[in-house]
Amino acid sequence: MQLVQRISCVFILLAALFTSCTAPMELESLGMKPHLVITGVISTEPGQQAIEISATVPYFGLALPENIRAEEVRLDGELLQWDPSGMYVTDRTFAAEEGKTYLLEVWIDFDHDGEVEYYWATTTVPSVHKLEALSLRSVIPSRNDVPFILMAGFYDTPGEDYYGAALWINDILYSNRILRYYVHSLNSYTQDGEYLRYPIPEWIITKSLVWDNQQTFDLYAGDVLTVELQTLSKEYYEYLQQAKIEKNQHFPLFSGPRGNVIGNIQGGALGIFGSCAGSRKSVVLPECPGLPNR
Amino acid sequence: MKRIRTTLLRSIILLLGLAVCPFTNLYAQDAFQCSGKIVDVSTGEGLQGALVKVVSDQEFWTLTDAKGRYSFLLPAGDFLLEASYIGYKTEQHNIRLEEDRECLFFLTPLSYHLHGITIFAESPAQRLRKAEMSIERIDAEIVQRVPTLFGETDLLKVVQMLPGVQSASEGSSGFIVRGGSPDQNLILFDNTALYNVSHMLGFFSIFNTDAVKNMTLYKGDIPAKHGGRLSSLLEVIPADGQERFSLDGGIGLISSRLTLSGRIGSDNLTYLLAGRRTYADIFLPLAKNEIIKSTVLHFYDLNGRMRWKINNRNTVHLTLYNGKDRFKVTDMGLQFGNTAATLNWNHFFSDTFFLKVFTTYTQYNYDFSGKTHEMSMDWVSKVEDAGLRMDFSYVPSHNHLFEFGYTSNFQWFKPGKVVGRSEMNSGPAIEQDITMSQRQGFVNVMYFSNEHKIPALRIEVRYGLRFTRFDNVGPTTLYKVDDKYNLINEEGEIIPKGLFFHHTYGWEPRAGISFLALPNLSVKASYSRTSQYVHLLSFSSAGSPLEIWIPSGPSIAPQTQHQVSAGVFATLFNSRYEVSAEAFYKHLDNVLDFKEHPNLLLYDKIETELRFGKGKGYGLEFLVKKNDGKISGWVSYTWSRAFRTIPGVNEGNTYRAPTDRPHNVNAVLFYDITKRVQVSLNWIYATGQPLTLPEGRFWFFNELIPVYTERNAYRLPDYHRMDASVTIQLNRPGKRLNHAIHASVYNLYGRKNPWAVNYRMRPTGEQYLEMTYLFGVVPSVTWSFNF
Repeated sequence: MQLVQRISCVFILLAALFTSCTAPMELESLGMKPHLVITGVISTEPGQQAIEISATVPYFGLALPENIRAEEVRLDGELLQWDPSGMYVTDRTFAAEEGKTYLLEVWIDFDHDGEVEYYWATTTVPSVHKLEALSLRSVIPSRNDVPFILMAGFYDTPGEDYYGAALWINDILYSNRILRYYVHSLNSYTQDGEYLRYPIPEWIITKSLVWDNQQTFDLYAGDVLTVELQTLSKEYYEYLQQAKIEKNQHFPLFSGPRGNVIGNIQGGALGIFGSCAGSRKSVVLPECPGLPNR
Repeated sequence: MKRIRTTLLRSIILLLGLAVCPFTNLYAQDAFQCSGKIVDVSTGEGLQGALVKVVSDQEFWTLTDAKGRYSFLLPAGDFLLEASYIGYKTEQHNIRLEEDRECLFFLTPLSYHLHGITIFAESPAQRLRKAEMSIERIDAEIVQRVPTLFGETDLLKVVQMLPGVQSASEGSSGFIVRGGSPDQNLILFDNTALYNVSHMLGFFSIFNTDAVKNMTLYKGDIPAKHGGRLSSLLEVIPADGQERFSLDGGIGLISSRLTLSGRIGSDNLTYLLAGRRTYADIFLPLAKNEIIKSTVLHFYDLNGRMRWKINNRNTVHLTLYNGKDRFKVTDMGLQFGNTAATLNWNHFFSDTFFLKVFTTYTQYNYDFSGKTHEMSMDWVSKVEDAGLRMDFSYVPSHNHLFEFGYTSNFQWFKPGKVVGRSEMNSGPAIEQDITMSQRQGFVNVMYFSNEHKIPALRIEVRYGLRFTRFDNVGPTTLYKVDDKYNLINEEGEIIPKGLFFHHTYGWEPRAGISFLALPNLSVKASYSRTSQYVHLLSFSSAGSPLEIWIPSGPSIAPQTQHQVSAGVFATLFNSRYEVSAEAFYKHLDNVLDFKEHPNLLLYDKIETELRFGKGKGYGLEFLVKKNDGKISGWVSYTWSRAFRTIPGVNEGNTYRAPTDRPHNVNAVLFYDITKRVQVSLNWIYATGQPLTLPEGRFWFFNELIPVYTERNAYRLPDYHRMDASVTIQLNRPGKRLNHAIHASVYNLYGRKNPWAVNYRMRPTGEQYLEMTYLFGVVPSVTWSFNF
């Protein structure tokens, strides 16, 4: 990403050295109607799991999408409850079963024509890949910092597997945004069915990480890093990949054509109904040059 | 109506007969043959396409063939013959015909006050009669007089003002021909293909006009001898040195150029050396900003041309080009440039049979480097092409021109290699590299064509066939995909060096017909099939030198195109005006686009990111042109559409091609106020470029995910711009020094035409579009001289 940023900077500067300027621009909207969006991911980790229903809002403007209520939402036949936080939720003990196919059904009169439309999607919960080991490896140390990457050790199963990884720092979810979440696939051609010590390049662990609102997330010796290795259902993995690429397109010189993130909701709605199976392990940041103590 | 049908039927029967009897003799029995040759007095070379006519009788006229020869059948008597050629002084000779006679014309090139480019356009009469269509040749004076950006005369900026041609983006040297993408244009400099012709993000082209003799743009009806791209051929011929020593130059605000030309020893050896360099960075140290102060920003061009006339039957030409851009700001630098060389031998076996041999080499490369305290990075990419071509011409009579030949090119593609190194005070250095596999292509072509004139029917036909074999050659890592674009072998197959592992064939028929319905009106039609075996992966429409060329292969099929065109061409008011209307339709197969959310940056398995489908384009072109007088110029209007239908893109629905810009108006006006003062004005209008924009958004994973309508559903604001220039001649009678001042204003009314578009967010959280525009009003002054 740094490479892309640098190259983009060069071109912007090159253009700026001529007489380039910027100005706000308005284009007449094609007037796309709001789309229904249904998103939800169920996990093997026990807990309350949520389905969100919302409508798209105009891209250019101040309005932000808000969750909406449906007539009825069912997960595998079970009625989900509307939660005041704006989501449909399971009970707090729900845990998806490995290998089981779940059906999500939504009834809603989205177009307000007096008739209820039906939307549905299925997902088959993948098997857990147990995170056997988690370690830190130092990379390219400098005078001022000692960056680490996290190494995950696990047994890959034969065939195509889709992995994700989420990171907690002292119980705060650092991977709370898609760009800070790791996704990767291992198919039958590469390292199939082996024990892997896999580097997770998404997070370069330094004394200061990028955080929300242009803030930094500062790290100290002794901080606990927890990684959840998630095995993803195929449709969820593909959706995440597309969404990541779409959000990465800050550099128009290298971005390629844009397009919709395609999910698996049937009936004409956007969004995704996916599943994952998780396994966690933690590691403590050691004392080292450049990394302060709390 | 019956008469027209009879004439048409007779024409068709005769055309069919041509296939078995190409040497039809239609001469009258009781006339004398008046033949001869028209040659350039300075070089001794025959001038193809010159007009020879009997002054007293407009029925008797003809054009010279490829060797500059002509032939009439005239009754006995006295005649005044006139020979003319654009860019040359017209000559007249009196002849008395009592028997077959020869009459030679030696035409003297007109010396333009500003020596620079010398482009010879054909006369209106020639254009009417020839079977070729969709071809644009531009007069030298026009290129000199069109207003310029930063005072730099630029061939490609003039090309962009022709009917059916548009600029790829603001300020870019790339151009769109009849809705085709910029990589579908073959640009030949002395028969050497150039892969990138831009300086400074495309603001300037690599063609120094002092080193160019002429150029021709074929918008679809490409001769059988050339191919390899779908849309067009731009053929640029370098200028030869003059026999008399001359020094030409120009000094502008940001660049200067100098050209030396003359002979060595005898008249048989001439040379031309031309150089050009920008010096915008000379003024950068005056800036207050420390970063801009230390910035390096310049480009240079060097051209060399040598012509050695060994004897009347053998001539050798050598053409060399080298140009480079350098840009460096703080610890980041970018260099890119072209090198090209052509060695050409022309041999006359006899007066009717001759050969041209070209050996060519071209290279385009770029190098991007960056450095921090701890790391350095270097990104290099290169494409090379070495070739041999042999063009034979056989002219059995003045009604036939047979051409056939063979070309062979070997191409090396090194799409990208990035090496990152750590630079530690202690400990081992760490080096990482990301390399896209190199690829090689080997192209072999045979072709044949014939231009056949049937004066009695006022018909000229041209037909030809081109056969191409394209081979993929190792070493490389081959990634094959299945019909769903999934990799068959994730690791790729290692192909050893020198192994020919895949090939493909292509047949490309070409045909054209012209019927001179009236002395000043002709009807023409043409058909061509073209194939393209190399493909440009361009990531941005904004113009970037960081382009990647890749060849066709097992998972990248060649792109092909069928194009039919038809048109009416006329001259009015004693040939002072030309008007034309052309219609065209294109069908494309295996047209290439990226899938949605492609992985593009240095991705070796690029086959998985591409999608192939069909395309179509159609349109109408209208042109009104005034060739002489105090006020001259042209106005053209083009309506054209371009669409693609590619499975896997836009949900398989047809969508606008990125080059779909329906309306285009180009108006160019020249006004000679006095002999010394000339002004020029041009105005360009084009529908805005298609654009894919989000219409809605929703939350997912704490991010707002955009929702699009369809690919290229939006358009940028319409593009329009007016430029003006004035040229003041400063010559003094009797002095050898010719010089002039050119003042130009680019974008006269300061139109903000978008170059790039970005999404921005206001502090309130409101998302909005922001455009980057490159140019406000840009004045410039250049002083040019010649002695």
